[in-house]
Amino acid sequence: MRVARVPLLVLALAALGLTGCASVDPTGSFESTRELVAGRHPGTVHWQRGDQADAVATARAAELLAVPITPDSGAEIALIRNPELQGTLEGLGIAQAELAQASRLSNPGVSFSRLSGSGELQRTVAISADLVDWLVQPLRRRLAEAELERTRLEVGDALLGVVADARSAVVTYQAANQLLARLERIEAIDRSAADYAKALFDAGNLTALERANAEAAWAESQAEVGRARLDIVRLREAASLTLGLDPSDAWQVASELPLPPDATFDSKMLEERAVADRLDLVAARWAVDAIERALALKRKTRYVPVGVEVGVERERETDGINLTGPTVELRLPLFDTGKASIALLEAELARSNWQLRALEAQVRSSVRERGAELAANRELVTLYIETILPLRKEVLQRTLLEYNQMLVGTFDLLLAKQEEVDAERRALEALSGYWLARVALERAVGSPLPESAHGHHQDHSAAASGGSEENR
Amino acid sequence: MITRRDLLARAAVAGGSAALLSRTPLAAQEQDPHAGHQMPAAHADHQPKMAAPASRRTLPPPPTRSDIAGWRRDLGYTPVTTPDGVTAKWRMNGAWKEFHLVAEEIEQEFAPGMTVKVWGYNGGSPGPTIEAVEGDNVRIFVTNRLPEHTTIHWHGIFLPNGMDGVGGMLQPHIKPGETYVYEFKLRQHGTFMYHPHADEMVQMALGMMGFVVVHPKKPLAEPIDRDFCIFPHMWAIHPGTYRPDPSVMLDFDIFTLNGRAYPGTSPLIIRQNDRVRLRFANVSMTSHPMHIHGHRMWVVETDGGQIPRSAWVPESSLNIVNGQTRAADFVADVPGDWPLHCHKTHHAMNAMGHEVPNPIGADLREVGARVSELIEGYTTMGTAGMAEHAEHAEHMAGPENTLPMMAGTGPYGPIEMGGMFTMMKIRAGIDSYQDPGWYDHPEGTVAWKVDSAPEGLI
Repeated sequence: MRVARVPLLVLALAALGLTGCASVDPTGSFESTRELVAGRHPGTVHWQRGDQADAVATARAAELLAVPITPDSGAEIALIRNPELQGTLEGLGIAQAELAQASRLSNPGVSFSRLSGSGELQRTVAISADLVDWLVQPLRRRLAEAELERTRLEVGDALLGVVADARSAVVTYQAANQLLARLERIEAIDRSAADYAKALFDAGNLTALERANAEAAWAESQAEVGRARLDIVRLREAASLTLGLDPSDAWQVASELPLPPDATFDSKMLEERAVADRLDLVAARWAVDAIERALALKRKTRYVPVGVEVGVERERETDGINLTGPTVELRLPLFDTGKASIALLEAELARSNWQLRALEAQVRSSVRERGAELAANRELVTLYIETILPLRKEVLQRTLLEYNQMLVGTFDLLLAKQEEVDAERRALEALSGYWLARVALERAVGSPLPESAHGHHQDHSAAASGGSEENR
Repeated sequence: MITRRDLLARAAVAGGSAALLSRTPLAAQEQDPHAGHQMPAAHADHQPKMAAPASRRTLPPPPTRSDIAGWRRDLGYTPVTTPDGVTAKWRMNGAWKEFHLVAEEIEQEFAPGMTVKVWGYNGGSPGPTIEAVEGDNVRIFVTNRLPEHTTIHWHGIFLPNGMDGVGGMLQPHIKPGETYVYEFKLRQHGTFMYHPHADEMVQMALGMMGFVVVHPKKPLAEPIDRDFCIFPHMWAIHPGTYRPDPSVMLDFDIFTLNGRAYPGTSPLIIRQNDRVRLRFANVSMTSHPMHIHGHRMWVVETDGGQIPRSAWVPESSLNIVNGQTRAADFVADVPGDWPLHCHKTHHAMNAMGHEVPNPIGADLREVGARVSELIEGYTTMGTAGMAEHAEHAEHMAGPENTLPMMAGTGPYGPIEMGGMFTMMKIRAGIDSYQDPGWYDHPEGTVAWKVDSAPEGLI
């Protein structure tokens, strides 16, 4: 621990010259994070920091809330108001502050020993502390910079996660509302059938059994409506939470999901884009790189009197592995010459490489799966819109022709109408399946699908509903 | 050993036709315009495939009284009239009276708005009425233009066993494209039928049947002025379809007289005091009680021939059981427009649903309004009965190729009939049997409305 005195002073001064450039203001990091994810999401993320910009963002959110919410406007609202996202953004502040901290030399220790009469010895110890700090400061700073970078990636990824969650929540809620409208219509049809059966029963023309059957069917469809209403309450809560809305916010969703845009996707191209663009993959590659650097450092400093302990923290997430970066500690190599640490880091590096490969495979698989889901739902929507719904309408029309000639009765007609509405319900399931798959695919790819400029979806809502709203 | 019969059959198959055997001119053709519309052409190409559906045959013009008198003088009998049908053309070839039936698919109009792909003979169902006299030697060529084999059974006629027409059992089937010949001497008189005895469920369900009328050699004591052949039949032509469904056993949709459903049936035109004969035959799945209004008919003939006068039975409804023929006479002494119809009420209707919930007497006003909101174009109907249906049918569209359940309009309003319904128009002093239009009732002979109901009678 004893070190020569003079060179230390020189070096300490030189080190001082290197420090002090890292700010505690995370604005720059925030802006660069925003740039990082620019083009990967609709709308602009706002970090509520109690400044004038808050008012602008609040007004923007209010403006978006004043009209029926679409999946994209919902995502934009969430980017302004979701409190969890705001919390995540604060991570930038933490990382920035840590960087600032890491960039500074610790204050020279001025300790005056009362135990010793030798002031010289005291000084030597104090300088020794500074020396250690000086030795590791560039390394610490580099690691803090890396940590900030990691945080930026993490925040960017979380931001895209919020976008996806918000869009899914809005789509699901929209679909639930549309579904409720269909179930209410089915309930009205069943009610008519039950009333009709009752009237025939009262006239002495229908058995009590047939009447009871009709009334049971009506009661069942009332139960379906009740369940759907509960779903709506739940889904509204979930959407409110994701979008960061309060009970005081009166908000509505757009009444109809639009039809899928006319676009097909090259799955191979999307895979390559996902592998290149996904922030979690970027982070994982960065982590591998960081371990490589830590290993190199460890190898170099193995016999340095003051040892550097580098390690890796990791946590598992459902969608892959998140490396949260190397750590650094300083130890005196009194008993441990670092042999085991190097072996550990080598193993960690190997493991991280495998995990990176696994994550890449998962990403590719996820893109393929979501892409297939998207394509299948698109085909289903097309089948419903172009074939099934027109056929159901034809069936209803032809049943009406037969009814007109007393070939079939009112029950057959009501059944044909119910099958038409039921086909609309299944078309709606396919349509919401499409939009949910699309949100999931865009999340899997890590950026919007090439053909979809956000906010430019054509609104075919009337067609999507089968154009039968007027029959309600 | 080659028999003469073999030669005949071969000649026919080889392209031959009646022409090869024909030496005499077409004796009957000129003298009997009534019978002269069905002479088959010589069919050189017997392709074993389905020919294009034949268009409906041309019906003969209504005869005049002098036409009938002339035919009766020349032939010794009053030729039959098959309303909406025809009598088979024939010619004499030596001792043989020759006919030719061509089994084929036909597009036949049952009534305006409904055309059906039936199987019949010589352009129609029922096929042409074969008319001959007791003692005649008849030779009947049968050409098959159906997609499957067929035969003809001469129902009720005394003949050699091998002429009875039971496919497989008594003769080889007549394959598509083939022509066979049947020969027998008519040893009896009466009203008979012909129909296939090969895949007969299908072939009769699709319309293959016809009359054979054999007049007695000894002229009737009281000559007939108008002799009508009427073949009731029932069909499963599901609403919106064009071809009978042979698999149906009970639930028939369409009921016809001579292949026409009211309002497509042609009326029977009769001069007052004409002696009228009505001949009926039935190959359908149930019996048809044929009812006439305003008269009673004497049942004078069965498949077995004339009934002795002492055994004649007066009836206003004559039940024609499946597989049976009957003839009944009456003197049309009361002028007017008199219905003639099957008295099974569903048989005097056109297509209707048999499982429609009965709305009669139900209060459907409120629920009906709600259903109208759910289904555009919906109207409740039938709560007071089905009569309104006849009016609805005029402005509310139904399925294609489907006749309204009830139809027809008379001078006093909707007639509300269908199916096996026609009219006998009996008029005084007419010379032509053309449709005279609606009867002009003498003053005070039509039921009239009074201002109030009588009291004390109930």
